Amino acid sequence: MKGIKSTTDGIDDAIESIKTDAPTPADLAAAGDRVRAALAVQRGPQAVPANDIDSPESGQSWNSIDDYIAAIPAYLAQRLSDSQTMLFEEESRRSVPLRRALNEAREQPRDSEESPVRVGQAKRPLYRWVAAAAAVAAIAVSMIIAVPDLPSLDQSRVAQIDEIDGQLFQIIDGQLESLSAGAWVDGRERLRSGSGSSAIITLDDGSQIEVDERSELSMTRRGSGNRIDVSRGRILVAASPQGSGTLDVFTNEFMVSVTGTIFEVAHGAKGSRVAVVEGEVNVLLQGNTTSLTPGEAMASRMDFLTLNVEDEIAWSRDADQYIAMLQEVAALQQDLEAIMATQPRYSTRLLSLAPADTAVYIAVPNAPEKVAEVYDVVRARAQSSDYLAEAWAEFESATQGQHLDEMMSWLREIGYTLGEETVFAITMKSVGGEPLSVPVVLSEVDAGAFAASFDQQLQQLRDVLAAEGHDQELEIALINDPGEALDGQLSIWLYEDILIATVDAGTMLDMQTVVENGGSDFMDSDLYGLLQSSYEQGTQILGAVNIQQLITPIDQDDQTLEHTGMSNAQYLIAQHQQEDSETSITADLYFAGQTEGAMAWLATPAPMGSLEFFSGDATLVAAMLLAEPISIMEQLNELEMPNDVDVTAEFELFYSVVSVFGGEMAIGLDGPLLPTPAWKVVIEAYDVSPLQASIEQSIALFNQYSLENGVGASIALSAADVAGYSGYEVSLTVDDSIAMGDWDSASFNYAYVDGYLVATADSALIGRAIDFYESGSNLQADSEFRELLARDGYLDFSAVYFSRLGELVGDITQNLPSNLTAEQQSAVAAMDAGAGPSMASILALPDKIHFAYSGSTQMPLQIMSQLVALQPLLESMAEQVDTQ
Amino acid sequence: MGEHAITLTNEPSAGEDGSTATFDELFNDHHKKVMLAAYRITGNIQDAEDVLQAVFLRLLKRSEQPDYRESSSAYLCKAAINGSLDLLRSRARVKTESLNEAILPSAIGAAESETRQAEQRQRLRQAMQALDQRAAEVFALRVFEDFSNAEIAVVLDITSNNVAVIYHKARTQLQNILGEFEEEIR
Repeated sequence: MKGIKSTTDGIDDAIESIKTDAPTPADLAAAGDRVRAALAVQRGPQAVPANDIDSPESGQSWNSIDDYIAAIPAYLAQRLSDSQTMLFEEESRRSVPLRRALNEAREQPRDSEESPVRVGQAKRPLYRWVAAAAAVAAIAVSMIIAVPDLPSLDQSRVAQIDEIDGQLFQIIDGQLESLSAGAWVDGRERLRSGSGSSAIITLDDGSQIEVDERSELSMTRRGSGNRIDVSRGRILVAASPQGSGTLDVFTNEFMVSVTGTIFEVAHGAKGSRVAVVEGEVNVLLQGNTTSLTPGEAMASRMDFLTLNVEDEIAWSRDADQYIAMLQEVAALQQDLEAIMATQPRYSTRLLSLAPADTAVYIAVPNAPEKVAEVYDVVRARAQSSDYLAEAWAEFESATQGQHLDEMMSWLREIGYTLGEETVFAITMKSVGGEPLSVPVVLSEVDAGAFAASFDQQLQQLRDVLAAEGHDQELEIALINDPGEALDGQLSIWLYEDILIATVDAGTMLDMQTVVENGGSDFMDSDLYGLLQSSYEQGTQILGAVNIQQLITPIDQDDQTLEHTGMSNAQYLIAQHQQEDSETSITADLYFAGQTEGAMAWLATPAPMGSLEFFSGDATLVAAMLLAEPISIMEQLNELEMPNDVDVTAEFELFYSVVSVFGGEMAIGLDGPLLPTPAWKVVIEAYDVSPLQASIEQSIALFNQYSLENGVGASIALSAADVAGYSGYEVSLTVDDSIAMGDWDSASFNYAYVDGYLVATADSALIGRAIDFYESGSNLQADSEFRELLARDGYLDFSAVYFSRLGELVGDITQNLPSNLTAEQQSAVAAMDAGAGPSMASILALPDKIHFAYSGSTQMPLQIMSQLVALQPLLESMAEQVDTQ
Repeated sequence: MGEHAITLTNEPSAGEDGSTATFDELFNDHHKKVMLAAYRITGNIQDAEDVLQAVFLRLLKRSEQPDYRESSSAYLCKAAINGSLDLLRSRARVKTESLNEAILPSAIGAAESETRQAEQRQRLRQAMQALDQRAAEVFALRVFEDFSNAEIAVVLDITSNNVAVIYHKARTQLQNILGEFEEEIR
């Protein structure tokens, strides 16, 4: 801590000293008066005094950009006064034409110095070579004239960078080199914009390209007009008139051809898209040309390929019991899916009847009946299973299961009299400074049937509870008038075909007004509008929370809320739908204004180049875009280190590493799990040199620490280039004293590939990752991956998780030494069928976070639990591998 | 960025009451803040006064009227910081005079402390000249003028994230330079 503490303290002390060292009020006032007086003397209508900022060259005032340009020679010759220099430099920062003129003026002397050299070189007596070159050039020129789409021989200075907001890189030999405004770009050079960055590029034909963040493109000069290739991301092109040629924009899926217009081309994980702002563009996709006019857009992938799951699995005989258990779980799940499957509801009468101060709104399809049916299925499945029957018997014995049966029967009877939807609303209000929440149940009901069976059902329920030893009297009453409702008693009131139940007498009276009026003030709320929109799109299970209403009465000053970024969260709306074997879950978290704190850590949706390093067969991939790693670290860096802890080097190292990260990272399993997991990590890294230096420093620090403290381990780093990219192998060796069995070493490889650090278990995997990246045949082109992409209007994500955990199970079992019987194989196939691919994605928008899950009804967590259950299998397999 | 485009305009705008702030109002409201911003960079009251005059002169000569809305303070501070840095750099180029802050004699006992503080200020100001323009702007606006990342982002027309990165890098660079100063002294 010593080094960094002193430096940090030094800069903090200096900052504090500068802030506290101010002129006296008298000095400030005097200076202000002098300047005010000077300005008063010099003020005039748009005039500037001649003795201050007149151009020494022309004697005229600087009223236009031409005046500044005219002053360039004087500026370069340092003949301007301090004030004039300051004005000139300030203007040059904000004026692109002035900056360009200044750059050209600076280059002129260099050009004039270079020209004699070129003349001198031309005088070299290489007549034969010159003649041959001339012949080749003539052929090339004639080819270009005959075939105008060919790239021009001269690819120098195809475009110039006008403006950069953030970072723009050129990719050279797999490394990123930062570009500045004013830089020239040659043809075919690959450019990439950084996270949160944008740039404006002007082509030599005058066309302007606006490049969004995390985009990658190159430009090529051709005889027939320029060509732009977009590898990923988004560009907006304002094309200049092209004469007889066209400006063509290519993605790997379509070509957009224009003669002069404004349009956007985007290429992301979910395909390519072109949108026309002005003029007309022609889109060539799969041999067909489509003309688009302003306001029209076109996407490359209108249809998604069908899902095709392969399941080839072999099992060991030792796995019988695990197979059977998993089979039972899978079968039970299928039964439950059948029960829970309901048709989406597109409207409801109950939403408008929700209490005015509803903080939580949950709508489920006829809940009591479903609960009873689920119970019936679970019990039947358990009792018929060789493996679950014993456990179920124990459960029934412990819970007096016969009473459970009766309770479910009661729920079923009640449920049959209810309509298709039940709504649970929880109101939240402040009473006497104390928060008070009251639940209200609303349901459409067959009032006559319900009332007729109520007493009998209630008595049945009382009997069940009494038999289970619950002596307390059930305080439930069916009331004829809302005025009969009592606090603390569950009062049920039937109004026409609407059932209202609550435990608060005042709330029941309020609800009387609501149902008689046909609606409440809740209909005027934003939450009502959001819920209505959800219904219109179709919903099965719908939940919503008014976060502000729920939190505010409890604790408005909760620091935790600010840290987590939830202090301005407004609403959470979640939906669950199930169709066939596919489940879809969406959740939207709305904020009042911009997201803050941890909620702003994820970046807005943008292309993820890291996914291009994963194959279409990847088993599990998680990728995310962080808004700004350094900012996150600064937020997290509120931990105070004890003074006696010296972590200077580690601290500096950590920051130096994080500062070069672009915010994009992906981790996954891309290949077999056994014998060595084919893990892969891809991290966006803008500046390779300091990152590599930091890695080497980290290893040196570790080795030094290990040596000084007798840890008994050392790390070696050696160069191991892969496919022309800089690469390294990291090897860990441990002494016998800490070796575990035969294990005494481990290693992994990493390489720097076009601004990404790619790390894998060995160099062969890196080579494969580079193949996927360079060939374009990667995860994003995979049919299963595409099938699961959310149709949300966005081409990209802020974070995505994709898994084929069912295949992971298969991969494990495939490696078992013994084969399965036909019966076992069918059991495994049934389990695998329910464990298809799944995807979860997050869109972090400025004022909203959208979560979407789609895919297998078996959630990743369920499958992971199954995998945990397979642990004994893995162990037995490992033992068998060892004995072989 | 991302899915959203932001359009910024430089159109002059009226206040809530529909009137446009006058030059005199702008000067009266902000000249002390501009003067202080310049002084923090230059460390010299005469230089700060020159910068103050140049900043407002520049406003006078502009053919289009500036935006006199709430963010004027930040824009003027930015102009003052740039003007001050340009002034120091141009002097450093032609080497006309020393940039050292005048370290005046102090009362007995406090002299050593004040001298050390003056040296710290001078070193930081010197170190800031090594930063590129954008980094210096961000650093000064954040630590001297106490603007938030979001406010700086608006003034510089960049994202808050960029501000955070630029600030962090600028601070790290300054720490390194100050560290080198200390090494040289030892």
